[in-house]
Formats: sequence, structure tokens, C-alpha cells
Amino acid sequence: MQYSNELKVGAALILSVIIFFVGFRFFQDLPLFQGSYMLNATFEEASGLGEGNPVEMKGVSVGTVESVRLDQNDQVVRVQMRINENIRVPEGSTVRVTGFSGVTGVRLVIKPGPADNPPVTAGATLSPPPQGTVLERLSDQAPALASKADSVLNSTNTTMQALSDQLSNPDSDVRTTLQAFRRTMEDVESITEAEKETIRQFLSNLEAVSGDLREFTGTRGDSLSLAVDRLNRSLTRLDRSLASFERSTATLDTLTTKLNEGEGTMGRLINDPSLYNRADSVAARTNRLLLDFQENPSRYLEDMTLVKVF
Amino acid sequence: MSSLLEFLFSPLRALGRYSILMARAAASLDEIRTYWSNLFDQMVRIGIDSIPIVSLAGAFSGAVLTVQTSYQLESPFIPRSIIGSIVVPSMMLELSVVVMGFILAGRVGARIAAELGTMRVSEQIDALEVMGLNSVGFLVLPRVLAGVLMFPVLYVASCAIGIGGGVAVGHFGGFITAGEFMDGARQFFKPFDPFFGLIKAVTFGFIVTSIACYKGYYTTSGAEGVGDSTTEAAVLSCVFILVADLILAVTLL
Repeated sequence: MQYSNELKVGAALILSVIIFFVGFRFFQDLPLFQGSYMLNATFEEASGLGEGNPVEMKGVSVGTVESVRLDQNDQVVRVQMRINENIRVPEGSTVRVTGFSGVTGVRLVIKPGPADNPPVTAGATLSPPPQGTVLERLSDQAPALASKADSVLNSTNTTMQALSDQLSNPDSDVRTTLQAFRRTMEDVESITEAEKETIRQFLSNLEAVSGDLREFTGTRGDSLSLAVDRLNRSLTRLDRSLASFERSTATLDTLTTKLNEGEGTMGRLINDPSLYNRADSVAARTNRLLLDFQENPSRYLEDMTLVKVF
Repeated sequence: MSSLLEFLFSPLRALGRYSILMARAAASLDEIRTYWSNLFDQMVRIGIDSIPIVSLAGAFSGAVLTVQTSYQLESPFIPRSIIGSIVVPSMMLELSVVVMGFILAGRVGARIAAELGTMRVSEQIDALEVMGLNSVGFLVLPRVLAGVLMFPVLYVASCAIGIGGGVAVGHFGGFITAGEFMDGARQFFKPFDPFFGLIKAVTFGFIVTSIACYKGYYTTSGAEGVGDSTTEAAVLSCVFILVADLILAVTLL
């Protein structure tokens, strides 16, 4: 079958337009045959956000960034994003820029508001999550803080009420304890009253002793100081002596250890029995020699010449 | 001295002749209905007939780019999806359209220059003029128009098949799964990229066909002149494709 040139060209054009459209939607991460709607957002800082970056909600891609524009009048970044038609973004949702451009790519992340809220309409502007000054955060947290403060006050009220009940009840533990404490204090007071004279005497004696002591230290101050000096010197000498003694003891200890372990001459003398054995053997032989000498002196004197003149 | 001036002025003279030829072609636009069938004929010969070679080049470009990118980015700190983020924009912005431009400079440009050159040296163009036909409207305009219209179509084919080739080689070669590839591509996709590719394709289409028509239309010196025109058309087209590529990138990106 022969196709005309017009048909071939028309088919090629249509096909390329379809491929272009499908590819475009595909890479934009948008459903091929589904509509979409636009949402806006305003940021102080775009952090490298660009056209075509994904928009995610709870980690799921729900659209793409359509445009990023710097508004020089207000010095803010105005971002337009295209969201898939079937995604509903509840009112109260916030949007922020995350990611590092080099590694994971920058993306917009929508944090959805309460699920009960109605969805935002197309063209609505989402705000970034609260951030910045302490006062701003505080004002955002104000309702929660107020409810917490309320619950704390309620608890305090209940506690105070319970305390009041305890105190007003004559049989309560708190009341009994307080009464017992009061009685104890009364007893202490009566004892103090009864022994007042004794206490006064004790105090006057204590005062006299301290006066004597003060007088003594005043009058004998020089002698005392001299005595203390001498004592100090003596103690220093004693300290030196003790140190020397300690060194001597250590040396003696080393010596004893060496003796015990058989090191050195003395050690060997003490620990090696062979010397004794040899000495003993020498003594026995000498003994025998002397006995022999006594018994047979001639044997030895035979060759002895007492006086040899020539 | 005069020869030096001649040498210096020759580019200007060539530019002037080229501009006048294109102006005559543009002035013939209202006559295009007369040469309607001629236009479709050229669209088929320039566009449809070039789809196989352009697709082949695109597929291999994408495949090689994927393999080489995965080789270059072999690091545990770089996610593999980055391969897709590099291959797809590279194909859309540069590789598919420039490779296509070079191939068509040889295939389409040389053919047009040879065709018109032969017609010129065999005095067929003169015969057309004698018959009262507008030779520029009949020969040049349909070819240039066909190039401008069909190069974007070829770009779409080259790009789609190139990215497909990249995905296929990456997936079946074990470099990157198709899912990772597409995730990376979507991550850094800029909607302007394919449009920029289309703008390049239109520009390159005009450059290749208009230079070929100019060289062929003003061919002299017989068969040797036809050979020279054909060579010059292909070479000049490639040079001006590179120049235009740079100018477009600097001005539009």
C-alpha cells in the first residue's frame, strides 16, 4: 500500500507531538491523562529550588514546581506548584523547601493540615511552617500553652482543696501531726523554763573558761609562740629522722631480701651449706692430722731439720 | 592588494548573497501553496527518511552516555539515580540534537547541495527561470521550510529513543534500574529543557538546509563545483551548528 507524502508527514508530526507531550508529563511526574491545579507559596529563601523539582506530601510525590520567581518589591520568593488533581491539600497545610541540591535534589514538602479541614482551592497560597523568633513560636503555641496552664491550675486547685479539707477535719493526720508538734514545743519550753538557772550557770562558767583562756593566750603569748616554734622544729627533725629511718629500713629490707634469696657473699654463706660441709671436712681432717701427729711425731719430724748450719 | 581585499570581503559577500537568497525565499512564502506537493516531498525526504539514522544515533548516544556516566560516578556517596539526572537533561539539551544536526548536515545538507548544484551546472535552474517559475520559491523555500518543520520531529524521535536506549542499557547492563533512572530524571527535570532542545532543532534545521541551498544554488564550475559545494555545505553546516549551539546556550540558558 502506498502512503502519500502528506499522510506520512502528518503522522510523523502527530506522533512527535504526542511523544513530546507524554514525555513532558512523564518527566514532570504528573499523571498523563489527569488534570492538575496550581498552588502558590511564598518563601523568604528558595534554597536552590527550581522549576520541575518535585512536590511531596508525606513522602509521596504529588506534583512539581511550576515556577520560582523572586519578587523584588517584597523581597520574597514566589513559588507556583502544580498539584495532581486527585490530591486534596487540607486548609492549614504548610509547605517548606528541603533537600540538598547536590545529592538528593531540592524539593517542596507539604505538611498537610488537619484532615477534617476542607481542601484548599486552586490558586491558594500555602504558607511556610512557623519559624523565626521565640515570640512568633510562642504566639503559635499559645493555645496549647493556655490549655496546659489551665490544667495545671486545676490540679493546684484540687490539691489546695484537699489540703483545706485535711486541715478543717479534726481527725485528719495533718491536724494530729501539727498538734503533736505543738505539744512537743510546749514541753521543750517548759523544760527550758525549769532548767533556766542551770543553763545560766553553765553559760557563765563557759564564759569564765573562755575568758581565762583568752587571758592566758594574751599574757603567755610569747612563751607559747616560742614553745610552738620549738615543737615545730623538733617535729621537723623528727620528720627527717623518720625519713632517714624509713630509708634505712628500706635498705635493710633489701639486704634481708638479698640474704634470703642467697644473693651476694653473705647470702651464699647463709644459704649455701657446701661451705660449712667443706669447713667441717677440713676440721675433721685437721683433727685426724693432729691426732696422727701426736701419735707418730717421728713421721713428721723425720724430715725436719731444726737447725741446719751447712 | 586587490586580491587581499577580495579575500577579506569574500565572507561579507557570501553573507550578503546568503541573506538575499533567504530574503527571496521568505518573500516567496505566499507562493508556497503553488509548491505544496514539493514541500511535502521534501519533508518526507528530509524528515521521515532520516528517522532511522537519527534514531540509531540517538539510541547509541543515550546508551553510551549512561554507561560512561555510571562509570564516572562510581562512588558510594553519590546515589545511582544521579545517572538519570545527568543522562536525560544531557540528551534533551545537547547530545541528541547536536548529534542529529551533524548527521543531517551530512545526509540532508550534502544531498540538497548536490541536488541544487547539479541543477545549477546543468542549467535546469536557468530553465525554470526561463519558464517563469520562481526558482527560489520552487527549490529553496520548500527545502528550508521542510528542514525547519521536520528537525523538531527528528529531535523528538532522537531524544525519546536516546533516553530509551540509556534506560535499556542501564537496566539490562546492570548499571542502574529503570526506576532509579527515571527517579533521577524526574528529580532534576526542568520543563524548559525539552523546549530548549526544540529551539535548537529548529535553528539547526534552518542552518543545515539554508546553507546547503545557498551552496548548491550558487554552484559554479561544473562537476567539480558540485563536489566542492557538497563538501562546503556539510562542513559549514557543522561549523555553524556548533556556533549556534554556543550562542543559544549562552543566550537562553
